[in-house]
Amino acid sequence: MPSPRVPDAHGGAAAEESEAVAAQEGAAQGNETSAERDSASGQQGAADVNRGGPPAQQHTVTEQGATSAQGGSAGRATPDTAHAGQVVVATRPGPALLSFSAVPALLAFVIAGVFLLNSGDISGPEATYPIVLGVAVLIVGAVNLVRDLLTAARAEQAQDGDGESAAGLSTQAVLRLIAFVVVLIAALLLLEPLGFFPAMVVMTIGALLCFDVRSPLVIAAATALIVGTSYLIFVRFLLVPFPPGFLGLT
Amino acid sequence: MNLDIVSSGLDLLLQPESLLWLIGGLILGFVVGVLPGLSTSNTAALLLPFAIGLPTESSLILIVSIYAGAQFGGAVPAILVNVPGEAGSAVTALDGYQYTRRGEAALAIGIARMAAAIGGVVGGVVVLVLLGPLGELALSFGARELFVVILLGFVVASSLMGESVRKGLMVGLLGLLLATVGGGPTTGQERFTFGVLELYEGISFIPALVGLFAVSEMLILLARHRHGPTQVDVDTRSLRAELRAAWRGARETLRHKKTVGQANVVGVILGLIPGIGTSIASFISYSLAKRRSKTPEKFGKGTPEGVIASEACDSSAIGATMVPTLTLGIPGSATMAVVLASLYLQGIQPGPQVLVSHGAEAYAAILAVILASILIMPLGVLLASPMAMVTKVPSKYLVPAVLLACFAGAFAVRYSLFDVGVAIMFGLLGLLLRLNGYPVIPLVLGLVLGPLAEENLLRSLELGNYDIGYFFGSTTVLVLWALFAVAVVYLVRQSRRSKVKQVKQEETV
Repeated sequence: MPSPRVPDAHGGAAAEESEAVAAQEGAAQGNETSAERDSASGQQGAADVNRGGPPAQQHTVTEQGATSAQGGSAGRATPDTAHAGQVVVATRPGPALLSFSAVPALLAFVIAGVFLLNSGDISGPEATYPIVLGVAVLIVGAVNLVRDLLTAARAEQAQDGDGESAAGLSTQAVLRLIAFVVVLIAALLLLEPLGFFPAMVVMTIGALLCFDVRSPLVIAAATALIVGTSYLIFVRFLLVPFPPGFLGLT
Repeated sequence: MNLDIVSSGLDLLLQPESLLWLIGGLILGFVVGVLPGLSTSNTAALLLPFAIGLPTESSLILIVSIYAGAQFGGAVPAILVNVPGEAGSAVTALDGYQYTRRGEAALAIGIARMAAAIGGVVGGVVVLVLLGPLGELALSFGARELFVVILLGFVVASSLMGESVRKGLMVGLLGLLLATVGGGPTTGQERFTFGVLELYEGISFIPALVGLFAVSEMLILLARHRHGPTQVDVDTRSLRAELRAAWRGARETLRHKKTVGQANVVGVILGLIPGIGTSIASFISYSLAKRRSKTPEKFGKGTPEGVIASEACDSSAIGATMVPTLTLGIPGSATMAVVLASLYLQGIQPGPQVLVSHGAEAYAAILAVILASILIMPLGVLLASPMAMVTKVPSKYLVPAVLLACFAGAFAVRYSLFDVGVAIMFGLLGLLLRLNGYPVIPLVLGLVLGPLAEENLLRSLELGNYDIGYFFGSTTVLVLWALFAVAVVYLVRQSRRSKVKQVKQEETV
């Protein structure tokens, strides 16, 4: 990983695989906003970390996920290390849960926005249809954004913990998730240079590490078994022609 | 009912190769049903890239047998360890797990098995009778009627999925919007491809599906993983004991004829409505059975009626979900969305014509549901112990293995690494949506129905010379609009009511 921050990893993927540009931007933006808001509410977050409550989840997550991808350990971050790598100007306070619950609506906004901005190149009724849809997404998205934020804020006020979003995930779970997302994106970027199955070895080892499998022997055996069996099934039996990487391995 | 076409469907099904796919699919269905996180739609989407080469009837038979098998398979972990293997089995766990706590797990599985078998057969037979007339009705639909039907199915399905109308609607609209990527339907001009060659044919549907269903599910399994020993004791019995329990369970099921019948009716009716699928149906069936039971206080404490209400309904909905899928080209459930995708890939345009051009294959699939449901009895007894063992597969090995299969499948559709990226990105999108309580199925519906909706809209606009009045120009279409209006009014009222309830709950908190 060239950079320790998750949003950059997203950005890199977007450059490489421009297929889901809009989704990417949305995801990156979502992460960024949550990181921002979090730093803003650093104090509260610090208090929340030990409770493992959702308000604290997001903020330790962004940096920690990346560190664990580098170092391979998904431990629990102290609030201090969590903020060490980031300089963000606090704009207004808002807990992580609040910004995380806004992610789907923001994603929809970004996708619809990108589509609407690019609709100028199309002519005829084939342009009208997506424009109407885009506007509809913006409208419903706006309603959702407001209501999601209100619901999250209300849950926050009530100190209700998991509220509607984050589905009651523990801090550890969120860390694991972020770490594995980084692994997935790394595997995706390695597909072309390394070849399909070598990249899948990376993915499998990453997954096992995220599941807290620590014994090298178990990891090696499980990886060999999973990737080996898949190789036999897909390449030898189903004859799927995977392109080879620079090592000549498929 | 046209007997000629049914009998040619039967001929197709009774080929040795078809029967092999049916049994293979059923066993595979048992396994994926048992494994939490691997659902029917996941598995069907995963297998799809490799099933393209099969004859149409074989791939259809394979998918519906997996569907039937998984519906029962999901009940096994629900009963044994209180972890539903399928969404619809969540209701089975309410009463089924109580049996296990009493040490009568085998009896509960026996009841579930019998109920699933009956439900599947009844649902299949009803569909066998209904498919012909409904198919003919659908054939009389022109472009404008089809457009309204798609609109109706889309709105109903999107709003019923997930916890609130607004969320489902937003995701569904997003799906429709994403479906416009690629060459335009009439002129073929590029839309939103951003110069990416791979996007010219649109966002590849199967990788997107694999991502939304399977990849996001695996990510959620990872998040939900509890560290430490989660060893569950699942006792395995001898075949003889298994047979005895199966017999007792079957008798117990047959004693509750009323509950079985009720559950079947609910399953068939709700299965016919596009997009509802099996999970919501079993909840409704359970609450209905509870309300109409003489002993409602026993529900949740391990009553056979609870297990039957859920399982019979689940299974009878399978056949019914095929009706909108085959007659209108609107998926009856997430799994049926995969069926539609497989039809597309084999060059068959889903819609009313399918029953005319591929009637035999369609009927073969429906007969396969019936046969697979019957086979649940012997195979389910034979495989009960191995199935219980599968519940022990730890998710730490399951997740990388399934993901590897996901990515290989995404690649194999058209040998494109780009599609692996599509699968991963849609997996992340699905994860973000699901963690925030947004359903992903409307997105799939939007992606499938989008091109169809746009094509029919543009065609009817052309036919009517861009006059809005054309959309109200026939009796059929007026009836459909009326249905649409009723559905919208109902949904709005429903969402108001749940909103009020929500606010009240929050106030009391």
